[in-house]
Amino acid sequence: MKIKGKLIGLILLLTANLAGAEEFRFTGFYDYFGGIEPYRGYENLKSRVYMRPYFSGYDEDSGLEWVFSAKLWTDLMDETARIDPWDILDEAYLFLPAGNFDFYLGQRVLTYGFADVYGPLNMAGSANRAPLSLDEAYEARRPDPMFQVKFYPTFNDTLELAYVPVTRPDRERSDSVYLPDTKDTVIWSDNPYITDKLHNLFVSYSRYGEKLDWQFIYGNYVENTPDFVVPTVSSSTSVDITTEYNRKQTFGIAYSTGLWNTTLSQDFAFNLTDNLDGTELGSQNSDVTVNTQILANLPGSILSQTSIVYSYFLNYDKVAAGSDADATEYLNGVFHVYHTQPLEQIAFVVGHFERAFLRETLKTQLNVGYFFSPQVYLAPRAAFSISDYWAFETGADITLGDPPDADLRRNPSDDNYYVRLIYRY
Amino acid sequence: MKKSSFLLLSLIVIMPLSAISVDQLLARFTETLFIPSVQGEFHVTLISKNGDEREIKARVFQKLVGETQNNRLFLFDFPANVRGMGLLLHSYFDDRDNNMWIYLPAVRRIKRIALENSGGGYFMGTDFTYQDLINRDVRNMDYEILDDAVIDGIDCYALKAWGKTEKIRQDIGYSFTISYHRKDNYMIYKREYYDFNDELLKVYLAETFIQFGNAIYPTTISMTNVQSGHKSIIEVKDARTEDIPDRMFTTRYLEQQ
Repeated sequence: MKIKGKLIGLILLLTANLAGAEEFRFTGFYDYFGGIEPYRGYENLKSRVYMRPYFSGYDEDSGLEWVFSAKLWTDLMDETARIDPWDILDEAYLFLPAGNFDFYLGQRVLTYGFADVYGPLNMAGSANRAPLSLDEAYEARRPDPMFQVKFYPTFNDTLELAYVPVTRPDRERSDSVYLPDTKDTVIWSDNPYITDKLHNLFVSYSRYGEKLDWQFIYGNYVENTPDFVVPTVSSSTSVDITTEYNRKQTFGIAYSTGLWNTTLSQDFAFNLTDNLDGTELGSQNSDVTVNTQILANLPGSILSQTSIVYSYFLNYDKVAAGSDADATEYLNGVFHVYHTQPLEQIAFVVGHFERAFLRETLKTQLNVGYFFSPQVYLAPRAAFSISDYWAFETGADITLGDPPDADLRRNPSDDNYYVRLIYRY
Repeated sequence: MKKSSFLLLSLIVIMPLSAISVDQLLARFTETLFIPSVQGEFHVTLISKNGDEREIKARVFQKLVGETQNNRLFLFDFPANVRGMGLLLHSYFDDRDNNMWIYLPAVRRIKRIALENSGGGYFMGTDFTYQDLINRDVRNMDYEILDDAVIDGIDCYALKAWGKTEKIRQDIGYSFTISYHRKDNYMIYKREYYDFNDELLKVYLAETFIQFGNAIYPTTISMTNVQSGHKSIIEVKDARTEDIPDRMFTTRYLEQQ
């Protein structure tokens, strides 16, 4: 295995040298997902071959750096399932540090806030909204074209401005969804970019200090999650419900600090949507969301991270009943569940527990989501490093209780497991 | 009277009493540590009980800031699953809490973490804990000079150290340590770490070093966990002492790398 790994590495290195890159990285894997939902029986869900080459280079005279990376995958069990051509180009940008400034131009992932999961300030960029594993990184947040400038008045302070001319819709289930109560059909947009609403701006100030890290954030952007346009609200008339992408503003504060032997981080976000008074059916409501994250060591060298998320939705349930109250109520419920706004207030807890064995050769994790309902999400993970290049990963995503019967639910919520053989160079 | 004087003289002759005090030894040892800036490439070999080996490579930068602060930066290059990751450590010789930030390239995030929150306290799966890597405030420690010793043919002073309180001992992770300082240059040649059952847990050995003026920098260090049979060897390549700009010990630099 060691010789084979080195041989592959050599081939990849040669490829990189041919491309003129100074640095080359590669991630490739084969994985398999099996469905183990009790009420459906065993299913083959997907089986991917995935590759992510990464090249970077540096011009010593100008200090200009460049990065180019791409993603490729195909599903061996479904020949029609492969990466969307628009997703192939991953991060690709130019970077120029100049005195107290850093400039980035190209396609790059932007992250804000300190929360690692369900971060309410992590607003930039689209994502896959129907993954089999909620924490899967390989098809996670997609980069957008952007221009970013960072100004460092001191070693500790950063002022940042990022301009994203155009963003992309979240990746949803590709098939349309029939809503039985109103006999309507939800049709998803297949446009790769949201071209009817342009210009996204993110401004932040960060300070990494001795006692506290701070971030103040403002975003004025097009929300990647769609709202819905319902031509006629009626139980007796079938219509096609289409999607639209609306502007959103986020005002946020985040901090992170050491607290005894733990690290406490909190992200506060006030999200202001176009649906100011909450009367528009199918549109997201404004909200206030707080994510509290505590990183601590438990006995037995178990690293734990607990995230407590609380949201309050403004003007909840203000949608006018219209002529068909039953249809309005049904659709309102469907859309609220889809927008993760099922109630006026929601709270949930996500626990992450990690323990390494054999000096980090074997890493085990358990993720637990508790939603103050019978729905408890369990996601055990294990990763074993076979060598410096090869690793074996396995895990499962299990939701206790039956899958929700919401007609527009995003996540299949069906139980599954996976195995993955991964090569990293 | 004569009998008791004879007895005292005999004891002095028989016992190899150390000719150095705790304060003198610590002061001279501290002088050997005084390197304003040092950088090099760490090649870490992790050897398990059955002989399996793993390797970690990182670029390491270290700089003293005034008399109370020591900054360290680790930029990991190998293996691929940690490549691009960086650790920035600001440790203090006074009462201030140490600060550590980690850069996770996969999610482009700088994350503040407590030393105790990282890998169960072990540094990147090695036998060194994060606490082993930081400076210890001597005011929090009690010391006792033990009998001189000859280790591997090297004459050494022996110094026992332990935290003044139970909490300090728990934070450090050991009941006590015994350090063997070379008599020729005061550098620690060997250190034994004892667990809370007072059983020997780990042995540190600094086999090779380079000298920068009065200061000494160990270049081959091993740490053996005698209870698990696991061993970590750090070899420092290309150690240099030219000044390192302060901007390198910032989160900006951490993210750029």
